[in-house]
Order: sequence, then structure tokens, then C-alpha cells
Amino acid sequence: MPEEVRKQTNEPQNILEMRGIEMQFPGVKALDGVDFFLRAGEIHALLGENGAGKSTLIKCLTGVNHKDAGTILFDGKEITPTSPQNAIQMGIATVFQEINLCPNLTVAENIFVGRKEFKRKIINAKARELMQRFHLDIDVTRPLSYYSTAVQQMVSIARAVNIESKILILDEPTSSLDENEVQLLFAVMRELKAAGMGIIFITHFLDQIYAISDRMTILRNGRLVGTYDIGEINKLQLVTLMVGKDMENIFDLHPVQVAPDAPDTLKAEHLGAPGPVADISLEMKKGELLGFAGLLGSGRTETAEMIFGANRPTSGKVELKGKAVVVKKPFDAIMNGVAFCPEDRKRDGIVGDLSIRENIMLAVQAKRGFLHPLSRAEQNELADKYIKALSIATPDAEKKIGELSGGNQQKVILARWMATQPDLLILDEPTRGIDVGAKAEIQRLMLEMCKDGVSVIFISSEMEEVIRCSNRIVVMRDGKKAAELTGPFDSETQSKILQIIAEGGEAS
Amino acid sequence: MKKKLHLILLIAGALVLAAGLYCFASICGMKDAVYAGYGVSFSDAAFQSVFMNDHDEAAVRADFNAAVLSGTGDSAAEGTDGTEAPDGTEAPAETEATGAETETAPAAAAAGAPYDTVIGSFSRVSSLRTAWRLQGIFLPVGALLCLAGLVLILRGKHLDFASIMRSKITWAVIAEILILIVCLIIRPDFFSISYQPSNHMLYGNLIDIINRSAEITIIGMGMTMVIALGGTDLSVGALVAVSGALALKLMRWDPTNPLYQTPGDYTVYPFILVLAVPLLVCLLMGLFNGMLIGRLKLQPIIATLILMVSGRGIAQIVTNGKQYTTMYSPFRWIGQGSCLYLPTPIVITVVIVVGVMLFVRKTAFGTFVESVGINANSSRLSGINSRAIILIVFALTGLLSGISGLIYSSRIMSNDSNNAGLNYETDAILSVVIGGTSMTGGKFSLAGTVIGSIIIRTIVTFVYFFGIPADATMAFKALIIAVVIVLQAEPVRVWMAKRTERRALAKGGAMK
Repeated sequence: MPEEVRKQTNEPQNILEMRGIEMQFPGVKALDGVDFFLRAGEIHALLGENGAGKSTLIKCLTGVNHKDAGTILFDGKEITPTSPQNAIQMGIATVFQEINLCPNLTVAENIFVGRKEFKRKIINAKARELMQRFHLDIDVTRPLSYYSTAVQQMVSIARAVNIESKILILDEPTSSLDENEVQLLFAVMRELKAAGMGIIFITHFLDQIYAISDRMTILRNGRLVGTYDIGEINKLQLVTLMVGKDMENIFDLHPVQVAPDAPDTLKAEHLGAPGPVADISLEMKKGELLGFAGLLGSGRTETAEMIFGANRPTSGKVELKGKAVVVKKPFDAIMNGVAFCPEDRKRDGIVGDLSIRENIMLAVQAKRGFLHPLSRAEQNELADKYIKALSIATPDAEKKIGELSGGNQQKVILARWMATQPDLLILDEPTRGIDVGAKAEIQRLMLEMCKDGVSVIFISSEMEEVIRCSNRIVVMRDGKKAAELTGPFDSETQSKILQIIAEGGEAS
Repeated sequence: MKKKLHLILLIAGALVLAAGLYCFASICGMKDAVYAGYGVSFSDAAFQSVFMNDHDEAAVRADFNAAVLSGTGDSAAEGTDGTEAPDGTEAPAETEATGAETETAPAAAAAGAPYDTVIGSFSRVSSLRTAWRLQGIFLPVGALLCLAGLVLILRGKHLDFASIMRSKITWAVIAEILILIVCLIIRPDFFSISYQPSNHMLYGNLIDIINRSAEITIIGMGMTMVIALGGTDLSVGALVAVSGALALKLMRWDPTNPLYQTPGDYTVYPFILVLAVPLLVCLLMGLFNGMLIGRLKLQPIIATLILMVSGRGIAQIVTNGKQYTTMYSPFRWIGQGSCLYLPTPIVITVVIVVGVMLFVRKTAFGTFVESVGINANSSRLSGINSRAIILIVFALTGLLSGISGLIYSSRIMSNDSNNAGLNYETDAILSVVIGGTSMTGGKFSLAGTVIGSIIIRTIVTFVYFFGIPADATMAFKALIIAVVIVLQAEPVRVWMAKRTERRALAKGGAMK
């Protein structure tokens, strides 16, 4: 494994050369002499944990922040981008993780807004052509909000690409896409690459890096670790370089043993709602961790929402702790000891402008009703307890949750539910869009809760996580339970699950 | 040193307050001496015309003697105060006093001119003049300092100037103080407060501003939370009209005797019903708004438009299109009476503001409102019953509009379906926004709304007080509000906060 910092060499085909970039924020050096080189016609992955300086580097390049030192050569000329608009004009296009489009405009309007072209007929035709290039056959005259997040993401890429750009920056473009959509995006990326565009690709999904990138640059704590060709280091070495610690230790997690005579926590029979979920039955013992595998839209989330009362099932019944319950709304589920971390943290999880303390106490307070308030002292105690227990990185409990990083936000949401002392905890994609270290921490917390007798439903698109932590795995396919696998799992399990997802029902 | 700031503020506030009270007392003492010696009640207006014009001492002496001996002090009181003449109980005493005057006046004249006996025993004219000006400044400033000290003690936070400069409320307060300072410069006795024994009430521009802002402040308490939920309630003005119409109808409309028409000091239905029915109806109308918004998911602006438009019609139907007037004295007390030496509306407002604040902040209600306003999805999934929250907030706003309507109709002792509560919705929304609550919902500040409502009223008073032409009033109001809102704009506040931070840093650097 390479030991010292690997510098890149000056090559003629470099379209972008960033040298010795430094950036000082109050109290912290965000970037410390970082070099970054991008060739024309390559996909270059930019890697690092949250806070490593990836975003800051991108922001220096796109003119959001202004570097304190260093030079940027673009196409051989030195540039100093002053604003994102300025960067776009120079030919540096960016697609951010959050979709920055207008949901009430049509797809075509979104792509062409702010351009010279404004005749409806022309932009519709052009937009249709563009979307076909992306292998998306959609009606470009419908409002953007009509389409899924994935399509919206594609539209924002289409918008960026349509600007005559030489560099395309993709900041976590895949975090809300399912496997098929990711493949679609990759196809587009390969096309753009063949056309000679330099693509900077930021993601937390290591598999995707290996699937598409040519080279990668790793940052840690604002410093350059090195730039490597894709075949040069394996995944394990990569993570070790990113984290600076040994990967093996972080993910040394094992499922918790469940006593065979443990009582049932959840028994759901023939739950169904027309459309997303046909008919599903589940049984869970106390302290068990049940993994949900399957593609996005296979009915995983919908099943969880039915149990929690966020959506009402049209058929079937639910028993909690051996008692039949009618769950009409989330409040009923909470009163029966169910907790639910939703998939879309930003939309359904955090209350952005409230403090960490208020976010943590929210569910407990809802359970008590607003006329029986927790005193300020009790709230502080609760917040401090979970900030410490979950090692949430914050100066104090009064910071707004919206200002925290994704991983820490997720921990606060987890704390909100842990505070209600649930019997059943449903986690829908709790590790999405957060860095490796935080992922491992959340998984460890999950397993600790199992040890304390909480039953956990763990929904994740990352197969490895599910296999690592679960006692049993339910594989979902087209709104049905395609299979149920019982642990212990081995190296074969993943391909087995993939096979089930691909080919359909085959009980184990 | 910062830790002791609240104590310093409290002590300074108490001292200033005491100084103000001393000034107030010395003026009252002078008036009492005139009354005791000459049997003439010497009014504020008379005081002002004698002392506040820039006469030299000789001229003031002549004016004062003339005023006291001719008894114009009394007539001036009736003429300029604009309030009702002294009640029946007061009148006989007055005549007695003037009767006695004929006997005492010559005696007093023999003992020396009134100026020398009364003023001479206190101080010279300049110090009395100063006292008159200062009491008006000392009293409010002292009260503010004490309040600031108390707030600091209750909050227990140490001061962070940068964050204070970032707060919208700070800018609202600064704007209010600026307007008041302009008033003070133009009229040095603008802040003066005096006591009117006939009504057991304090008088003065400051009192009047707070008194007249009562309706908007009360509605603003509800509107703040409506806006925190991300909505607006346009129906409040119409509910004010409905409430007034119902109250007047219950006092005047007698089905058994349809011909009985003369207004007087009577009520047809019991007073408790006169109060309860309008409030109940407004509460139900608020609930209706809440149902449309919470259950049918209508946009608040559309849902409340229904009652905004139909409310005045309902008020017309209630009174059959008539405009009743009344002279029922318990009803008069609500809008024109006095309570604890203050106009009753002020006391009602204080009770409601404190009540709502306690309800919102001492229970978790406020947090839930903010949570639903910021992210309704997350709140629902956390188990918050957003529908109930919406229902309570709109019902409360309806109820508060009803109270406001009672105060309004008591001020005019009549119902006016067309003009009662006119434009109250915009004024209430404006005071919420000036108070620092964002129209997009989320975090809200009830104290900010109180300040916002007072600012709006200060502007109106300012305009009336300085005789700005009525045509220009609205434009002038708009101008000041525009300035306030610009002061509060995010970039301006951030810029000022950064400036403060830089200065603090520069200071810290210099100390090192």
C-alpha cells in the first residue's frame, strides 16, 4: 500500500490543474495545500469522509468560496471563478446533491430556463431530444414535480450538460437513485466522457466508484492523501486511506443472538395496499434484527410505512407484543412502542430550524401531549444524554439540526426515537448519504439496541450492510415478499439475494 | 462584569424610575396646591400653554396668575382633552369648589399672587418645566431598563452582541426608539404622562399609543401562530365586525318590544351574554377556518378569504343593516374605562399577551406549532397531531378577534359593519412580520409582534400628532414601515452583526 502522499504529474491532457489550494475558515483549515488534476475525457472520483474538504474544494472551483492561496489552471489559463454563474460561463457545470430546480415548471422549461431559447415548441423538442439521449422517454411538458427524484436528478444533469461545459461536477448524484437509475446515469456519464468532458464524481458508494471511475483522489482532514488509478488499490485499502484507521476494526460487527423462546414483538398478517404492496406477512421476535433487501420501489418503504401508520393498509392486521392494534396514524404506532426513521431524512425526518434539543424531544413530547411538557431541565438532560451516547458532533444542544452534517442529523433522528424507548424500531435507509465512519457507528448503535431487547427492521440498498447486521433477511420484489433468508449468512448470500431480486420468487 | 449587568440595569432602572416619579409628584403637588389654595383644577393643557411656550419668567408669571384667577385651567381641561366631561359625581364637587373660589380668591390675592405662593414654594419656572419634560422620559426609560434587567435575570444568558444585532426584534426596537426620539425632538413634552383624577386614569402619548394598539396586539397573538404555521388569517377584520354587531344587538334588540328605540344606560340581555355570545361565535368561526385548513387541506389564504368576504355580510344580517348605539356603562368600561389607573384595553391586552405566552411557552404547544410550520411531514411522523394544532391556532385567533371586536365597539359605543376592524388583517400581519416572524413559517416571537403592533400605532399617533395632512397619512406610514423592514432584511442585519463582531475583535486585539 502506498505510504506517502502521491502527487500527480503535469500532463499535457490535463484540462484542470489545481495546485496548492488553501482555504481558511474561522478556526479551521479546510484545505491545506491540495493539488487536484483532471484530464479531459476521464471520470475522476473525489473521495473522503464528511469534512475532508471535498465540498470546499469543489466550492473553490465553482466560485462559491474564494481560495486563500493556490492556483487554478483551466485549459492552460489561470482562472479565479468569482461566482457559480461565472464558473458556468467558463464551462464548469455542477450538479448538486440537492436538486436545485423549480418543481412547478415543466421539464423542458427547467432545462432551458435562463437561456436564449424560450419558444415553447423549440424547447420542448430540444428537451425531448436531450432526454432521449439519456434514454429517458418522458413527457417534457409535464411539471417536474410529477416525476420521481431520480428523473429530477437526470433533468438537473441534462440542464448542466446542455450548457456548453468542459467540466462536469457531480456531487452525490446517486444518493437517491436505485440500481437501474444508477446504471442509466452511468451510461450517460460514459457518453459524456467519450465526448471529451472531464467529470468529477463525488459519492459515498464505493462500488460505484469502482464501476465507473478512471482515477480517484482521496482527501482527509483538508489534506491530499493521494491520487490513484482505479486498479491500483482495492476497496479495503481505499477505505483505510479515507478513514485513516483500519477498516477491519470499524466494521467488525456481528448480528446479535436471539433467544429461540423470545416473545413476538410484531406479527403482521397479509398487509396490503393496492399498488405498492400486494400482500405481506411478517413476524419478529424481541431483540431480532430483520433486514429488508430489494430495489427502490419494491415495497420496502411502503411496508414500513404501513406498520407505522404513515400509510394505511387496506387489508391485513397487525399485532404488537401479542396484542392486536389498529394503527390509523403515526401517533397510534408511537403509543404502541413503534419508532420509524424515514428514508428521506430532509423531507420527513429533521425539523431543520429547530435545535438539536427540540428535535430529540419531539417524539417523546408528542407521546406525552403538549399539555404535559418536559421541563427545560429534563429536555437538556435528554439532549445531553443522547449527544454523548451517540457522539453527535456539536458544540451544544442549541445548534440548529439543519446545520449538522448528514450523519449527525441521522444520529439526532435516531436519538429522537431511542428517547421514546421503543419496542420496534424501523430504520429506512439510515445510512444513506453519510460517510463510512458514521455508517459504522449507526450500525453499531442498531446492534446495541437489539441487545437491549429492541426489535429492529433495517431497510437498506447496501446489501453488505444488511447481510452484516441481520438475523433474518426479507427480500422484496414488486411489492411482494420474494423470499425470506435466515442467518447466519455467508459470502454466497449476496449473490443469492441478487438472483432472487433479478429472477423472482424462490424460497430458501 | 457582564454577569452583574442585570443588577446594574435593575438598579439604574429603579433610580431613573424614582427620578421620574419625583418629577411627576412635584407637578402633581403644584396642581394640588393650586386646587387647595384657589379651588381651580389646573389641567395639563393649561399647564402646557402657560409653561411650555418659551416665555420669560415674567410672562409666565402673568399667564399663570391670569389662568388661576380666571379659572381657565378648568375650562381648558374640558376643551382640549377630548374626553367626556367629568361624570355626574364630579360635577357637584366642582361647582362647590368654584363657589368657594369667590370667597378664597380675594384672600389669596391679598396674600400674594398665585405664582409666588404656589410656584415660589416649589422651585423656579425653569425647573418645573424641566420636571415636566423629564418625567416623561424618566418613567419609560426607567421601566425599560428594569424590564431589560428582569429579562436578563430570567433568561440567564450572557450577552452576545453579535447575535443581538442579528435578531430582528432588536431592529424593531431600534426603529421604535428612533421614531420616538424624532417625536421628542419636535415636541419635548411628547413623553409626558399626567394623571386625570376624574377618570382615575393616566394620560399621555405613550399611554395612548399602547391603548390604541390593543386591538392589533390582541389579534397579533393569534396571527403570529397562524403565520408560524405557514399560513395567514384574512378573516380577523371581519370577525371584529361580527363580534361588535352581536354585542350591540344583544344590548339593544328587544324582540318583545320592537318599538323601543332610545339608546341608554341599559342592556336587554344580561351583560354576561353580551360578552359570551360574540366570543363564542368568533371562536366557532375560527374553528370553521381551522376545519377548512386542517381537514380539507385548503390553503389558509383561500379558506379565510371565505369569512373575510362573508363576515361583514353576516354582521349586517345580525343587525338587520342597522347601526345601533348604546350608553350602557359596563360596556363602556371595556374600551374607555380605567383599571389600575390605566385604560382598560391596556390591562386586557397585558392579560391576554401574558396568558398566550404562558400557554405557548410553558406547554410544548409553541414547539409543536414551530415544528409543524417548519416541516409538517416530519412532525406528523414524530406523532404530532398537526390537525389539532391547526384547529387550536385558528380557533384561538377567532376568539382573540372577538375580544378585539368588543374593545373596538366599546370605544365607539356602536357597531359598524363596514368599518369595524377594517384593514386589521394587514396591520396584524404587518406587526407579526415587523416582530421578526417569517412569513414562510417556523420560529415565531410573540414579544416581537407586540413591538410590531406598537410601532404601527406609534406611526399613526406620530402622524396625527404632527398634523401631517390626512391624505399623506398612508404614504407616510408606508414610508416608515418600508424603512423598518429594510433595516430587518437579512443582508443588512448580517452586515451590522459582522461590523459588531469586527469591532469586538479589534477591541480584543487592542487589549492583547
